Amino acid sequence: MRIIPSHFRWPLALLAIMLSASMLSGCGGGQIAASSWPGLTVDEERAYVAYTSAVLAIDLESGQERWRFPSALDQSKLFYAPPALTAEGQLVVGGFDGVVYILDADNGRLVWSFDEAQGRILGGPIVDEELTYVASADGTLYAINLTSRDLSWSYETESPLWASPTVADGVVYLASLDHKVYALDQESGDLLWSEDISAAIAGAPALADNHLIVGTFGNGLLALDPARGTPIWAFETEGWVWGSPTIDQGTVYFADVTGVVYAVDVETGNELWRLDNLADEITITASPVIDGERLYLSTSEGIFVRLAADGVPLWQEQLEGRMLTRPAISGETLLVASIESGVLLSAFIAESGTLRWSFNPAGE
Amino acid sequence: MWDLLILDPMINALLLIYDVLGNNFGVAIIVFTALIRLITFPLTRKQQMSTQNMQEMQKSKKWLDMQKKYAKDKQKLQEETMKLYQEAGINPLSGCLPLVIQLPIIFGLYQAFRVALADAPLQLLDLGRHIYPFVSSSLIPLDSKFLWMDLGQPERLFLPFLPSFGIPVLTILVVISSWLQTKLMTPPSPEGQGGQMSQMMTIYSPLLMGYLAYSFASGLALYFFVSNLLGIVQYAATGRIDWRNILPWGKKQE
Repeated sequence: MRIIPSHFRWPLALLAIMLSASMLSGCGGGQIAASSWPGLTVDEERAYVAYTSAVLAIDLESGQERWRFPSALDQSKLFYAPPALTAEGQLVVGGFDGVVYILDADNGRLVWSFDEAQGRILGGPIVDEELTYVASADGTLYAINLTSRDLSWSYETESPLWASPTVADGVVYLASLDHKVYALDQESGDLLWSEDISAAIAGAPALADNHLIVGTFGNGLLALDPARGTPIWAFETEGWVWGSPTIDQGTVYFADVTGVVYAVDVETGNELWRLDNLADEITITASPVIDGERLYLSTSEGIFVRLAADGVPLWQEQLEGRMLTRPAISGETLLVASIESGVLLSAFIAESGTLRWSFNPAGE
Repeated sequence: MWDLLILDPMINALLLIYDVLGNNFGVAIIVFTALIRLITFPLTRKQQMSTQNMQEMQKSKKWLDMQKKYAKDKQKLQEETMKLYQEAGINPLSGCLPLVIQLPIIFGLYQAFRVALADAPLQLLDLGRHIYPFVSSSLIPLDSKFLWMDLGQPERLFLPFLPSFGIPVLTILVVISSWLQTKLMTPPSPEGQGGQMSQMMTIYSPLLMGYLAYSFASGLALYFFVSNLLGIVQYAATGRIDWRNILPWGKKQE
């Protein structure tokens, strides 16, 4: 600064300070940005949406809010993981604060909570009989007994867990950002096998027809032997595969983040068809949903419904914001959650695409 | 345009260095900082030469006479000062160039660290959009741990006997190294307004850097610290560094 004349120095220094503070603050400070997209679960009566500061129960018939948890704003609590319903009418909710909240699904009242996890919970809890399996960003899978309210067992991996586990046939399958897939004994939590696949996994593994299928950030889909973890086939994609694949009648349906949708034979890994022209600048992180012959795709640009057999268009609806959450179906109602939009949840008639209602929490 | 020219090259350069250096993001930042220092060295050198010319001019009889002659007429003093700069072929604004170049680098780096060290889905999705096709996806997610730090978060050191108070070690190092750099690279100031301002800059500049290091991701603080150290080393290599500037019994005002 020495060579700058005195009458220039302070204005320049002040300008530098103001620019530094305002630009850096603008980049990351101030208002807290959302970290993920909403978690969505439905039963026959209500949709449960976990997004930012609350879990909301919305009546499927009227589109009205029934309850919210917490009932008063608590800025220390954030929610993104899709809640899980138990047979006893309870809702298992994973919080960004690492706490697992067990709520009464009828009224949203807190029944009890589990606070031993040290990391954020992003993957939805899975309930299987009296155990709930909760994957945490502290890298640990927690198996919590819903009856005794105790930790049954836990298993620690090397990186954050963002994906829900998959439970089948006495085995818990776990996919991790540490590039590994794990198979654990459902009773004890003991490791049965693990397989390094050299790429991070953010979506839950899908199991069908003796194939364990995982989508990876290594631009691909992998089929593993569920008994030993050895690879069976690999399918190359255009971009990262974020969402969990959906398997139906021998076909794996999935999409990559560049918006390409694929249908692949589960036995051989051969491509059956692909859609690569849904829209420009499109992103897909959500798993496809199959209902009968219809394939529902939630994307950054809107909702697209195609014939599952060959991808032929049925209907589509462009929506405001980004739809990165897996859509949900209850009866004849299709539910789509949005971010960066005034509308959090939209309900459509699944067959025709006619809008039934839309829910805006800010308008309440 | 910002992403294309600044952010994306920075993110991908960091990822490539991270890949080559065994997936250590702290080491990647240190190497990246050294590269930035190397790339901007010609400009830094030019600025240092300009400073040296300025210093010599300010010791000249002509300069001192002018200061005395127009001491009570600031307007005239400024005009005559500018004339003198022009006669000597010195552009007084050339000293702004390093500052102008540093600002986009700092903003770009802050954003690059924030994007690269994504620890939540929306941020990781954003990172995916910035990665060049030839950069391996197997690097994702990056390991943000370096020594005791999480490079994506502001740095604090929690000691076993002081578990409730985090010591901002890196912030302290940034303040000290910024002060050292300013002090070592700024010659003793003349009396008067210019000298006072120069002394205030010696205080406020490290405090500003310290505030940024304290408040933002420790990856940025690591960059500040390493950049300050390398700046001192570079200046020392030119042989003009005056260690007496930092000693209480050092060189007195000439």
